[in-house]
Amino acid sequence: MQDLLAASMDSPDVTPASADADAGDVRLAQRGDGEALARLIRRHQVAVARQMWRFTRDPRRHAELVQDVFVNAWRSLDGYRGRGPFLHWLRKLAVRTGYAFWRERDRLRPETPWDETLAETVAAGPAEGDAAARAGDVVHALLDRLPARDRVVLVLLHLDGCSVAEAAERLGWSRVMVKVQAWRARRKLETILRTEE
Amino acid sequence: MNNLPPQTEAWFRRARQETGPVPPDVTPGVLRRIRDGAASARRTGWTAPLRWWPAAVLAGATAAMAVAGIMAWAAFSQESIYTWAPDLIVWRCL
Repeated sequence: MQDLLAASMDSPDVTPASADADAGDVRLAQRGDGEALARLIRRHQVAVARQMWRFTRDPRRHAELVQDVFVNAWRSLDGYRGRGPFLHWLRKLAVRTGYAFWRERDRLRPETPWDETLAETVAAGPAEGDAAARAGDVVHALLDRLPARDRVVLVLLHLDGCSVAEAAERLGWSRVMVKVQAWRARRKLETILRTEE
Repeated sequence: MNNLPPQTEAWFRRARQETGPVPPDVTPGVLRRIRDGAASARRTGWTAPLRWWPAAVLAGATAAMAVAGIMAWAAFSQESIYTWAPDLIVWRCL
């Protein structure tokens, strides 16, 4: 845990100045200061929006999810003890909010039919001119075939570039569980691709 | 198996660079939602309904069973409610 905290303080998205500003605003927001809360939201909404784009490609739902994260953050603000950067605490909430969104969607939706053109696209690999956004769309459609539990672990490890320890921290799972779940998810992905090819 | 399927690796590598769209400022929406709903919930401490509803159901079920038990006892004992109710009250309160 100490390693994780030390590493988190060194991450490029948290500077000492922003950490100080966050600490002050969090204290004020915990006492009910709406202006301090607004400053926190404005400071971190781009990072949260970037994170939530992994969970949906629908712009309207995306904006709602970003809002959900900050509403959840406000509800849980008293539980933030300042042991790590506020942004990292927020990212943890964002991942859990997105994961809950996927689980709820999995419960309600019928199974996604396999798109033949997607299989061909994946097999062909990205073209030279393909932008990151297009690659994001393809990966999102591919991961859409997996249950929420598998998707979330692959997104954290292979899209957000988290280490196993960071993924475990964000999900509230043990490291062993993250490793096992990731192994299962990758195997499922391979099976899907082999079956559909 | 610590690696992604080979045909997906390049897609993931490129998708990692994606930043996504920047949505319009969500601050007004968040503050409105907090003001409308969550504010009252936080004031009363009822922020997580799932924490209290099992206790409420259990309390309701216990009360219903107690009432049903008393009524059944009254029915089978062939006594008038005016006979046993004062006794019960005296027994509970004194």
